[in-house]
Amino acid sequence: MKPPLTLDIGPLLEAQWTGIPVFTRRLAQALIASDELDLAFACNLIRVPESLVHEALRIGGGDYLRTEIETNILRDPEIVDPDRPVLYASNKGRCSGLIAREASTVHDMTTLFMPDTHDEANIAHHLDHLEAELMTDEAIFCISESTRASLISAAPSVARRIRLLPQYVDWPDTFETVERNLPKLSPRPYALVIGTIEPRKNLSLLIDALADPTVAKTDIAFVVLGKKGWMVDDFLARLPPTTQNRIAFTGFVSEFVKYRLLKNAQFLVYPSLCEGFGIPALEAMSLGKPVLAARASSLPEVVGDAGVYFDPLSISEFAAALAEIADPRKLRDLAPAARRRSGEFNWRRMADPVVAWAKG
Amino acid sequence: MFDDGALALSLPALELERVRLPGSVFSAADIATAEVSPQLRLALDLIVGVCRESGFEPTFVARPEIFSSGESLAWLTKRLNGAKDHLALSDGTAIRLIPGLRNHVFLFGLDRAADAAALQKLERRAPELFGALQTQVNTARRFASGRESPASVAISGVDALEREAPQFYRIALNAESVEDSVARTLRSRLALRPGQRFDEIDYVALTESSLADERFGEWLAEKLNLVYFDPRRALILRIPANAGASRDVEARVRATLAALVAASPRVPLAAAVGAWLTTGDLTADRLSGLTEACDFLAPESFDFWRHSPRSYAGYRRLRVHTRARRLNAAAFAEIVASMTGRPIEVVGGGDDEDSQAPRAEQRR
Repeated sequence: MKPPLTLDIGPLLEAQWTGIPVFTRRLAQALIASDELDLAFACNLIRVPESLVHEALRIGGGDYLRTEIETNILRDPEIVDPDRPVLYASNKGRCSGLIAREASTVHDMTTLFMPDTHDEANIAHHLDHLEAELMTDEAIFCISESTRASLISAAPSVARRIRLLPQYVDWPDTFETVERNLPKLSPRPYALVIGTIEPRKNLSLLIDALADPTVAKTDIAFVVLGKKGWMVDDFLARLPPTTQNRIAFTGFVSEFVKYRLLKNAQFLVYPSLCEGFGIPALEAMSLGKPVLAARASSLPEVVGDAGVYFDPLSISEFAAALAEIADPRKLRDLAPAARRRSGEFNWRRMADPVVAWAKG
Repeated sequence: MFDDGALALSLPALELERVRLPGSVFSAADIATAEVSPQLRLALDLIVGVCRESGFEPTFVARPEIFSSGESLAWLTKRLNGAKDHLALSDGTAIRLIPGLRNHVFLFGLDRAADAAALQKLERRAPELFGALQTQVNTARRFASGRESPASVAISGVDALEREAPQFYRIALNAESVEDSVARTLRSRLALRPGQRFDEIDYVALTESSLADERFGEWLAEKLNLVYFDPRRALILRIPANAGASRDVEARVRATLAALVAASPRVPLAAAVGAWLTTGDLTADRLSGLTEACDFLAPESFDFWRHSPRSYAGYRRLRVHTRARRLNAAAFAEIVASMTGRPIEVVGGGDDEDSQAPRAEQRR
């Protein structure tokens, strides 16, 4: 008999899937693929039918699932079986301690250690119930060693209950064929930056670096892919006009457009001050694109030998690293390492720790 | 912390927002002229001064939290000049640690109400965080019941020069209206007259945090009642250095008078002869022209390390008003005595029965 597990898929209710919703999608798909669990789904301890989740995974966005839950499921909600272990793909919020065996997922500890990059509502959402969550978790899944280390700094007593839950990349099979048959993108070489535009992503380093003579004389352009987040109005308002021919902002794009932009990029730029994991790095590497990465938080752990690193607060280090990675020979050398490294992260590696915990 | 010839120092990220740094690791020279808060500047001067007296320069780290593990932590550690200790200068919004080092904290800005409130939130949200600290500099906080609090280390201050001479205002309180009280008080500006004498003066160094404390306000109102009706006594209130984000005198006067009005003092609608506000720090030497007997009083959120023991020497008594909720009162008295070089009388608080009294150690 397969061990039971209820997966809380709350993050999938967000309309646009980036970050934690994409993590949740991959976790659900990894557990489905493993076929080792008697898997059920829930949202805030209300059962969500498997068919709805499968349909949402096929669509790749949260509108359908949210509408179904609000209009149909909540009319006659079915509470989850309290004897089945529940894994939350993110934090538990107010649901702590209601189920015999609970586990939650910690993505990062930036609301605690970098509160200056979050608004108070977000900090309260993540931290006001943290202690109760940690106390009632049988297992705590951290998405990287870096997140594990940060959590242990904040709460040393939970160290022995922490398990790692690294992500993987799963481009749909059709993307490569469709992309190959589309016209080529701009001939101008560009580097891609992926992530919600918010202070922690440290885009100001890139903007400031454009004024550095070393960077100014390169011809590479930068494409920033991601929706506008929080606390960035001032930053965007003071973008100097001289940057306009060097940086383009796409806003939120579909997974295919992201794939296409990555496929045609020279490399990925990842200046983030702190990441829980850094899935865009893995996505780039899976397409043979090296990463110009901040030597901070989880990025060295994910990128490994497939990138060139810099101090995220040093413009001169960034400029030197940019010059190094932009060299075509370096790009050629790093491409195989990028593919090899990304292959080390796969759905099996994500599913196994959860299956092991569910087995007890 | 200062005995190994090396120390890593980190600062609150918000303070560095407008500072162009050469990188994550930098030197005292890189922020020597940077625009940081006056509270942080004083704290920096104090710690850098102790390091230099000990014969070394500290190594500064911006955002130590991003070097949490593996290669990034190894990279940082290599650049710390062999430091085994990390002192986090914290405004209470976050306490950042460096794994593998002995971590210490200097909570330098708790006179600001917002920072004191932020620290309380932090204590509630991540109580275990404080267990990772080896020592707390110039504080004696009891971070969470049942857990051992970090030991206290006292570092005495050096007197900073005031940029502007303090102004004096006679307090004119209208118990029905804060705004009227502000207008009347600001109209009552006065100059210290030679020959004016009082039998006793209570000099109270207010902080913004203390104004939010109802019990402290009541204690202050009682003192005010006394001087209104006794011309031999005077009460001089040094207004807080800030009111929210403002350092404007009117805003600071308003915040002070609002706290007094809220405490409902029983005083007539007239300016008191011996109840004054002052905008800057006074020393006992300066007050000696007014009295032979001047007591220094402060709330627990006052940063005693901002002045040298010399500047406390001329007071008749030093007294501190404390609630003792988050404080180990015995250790606090001990550490304030170390910083000021004088015994300190604790008033206003209940007994603190924390059996794990942190050891206070003196640096200067």
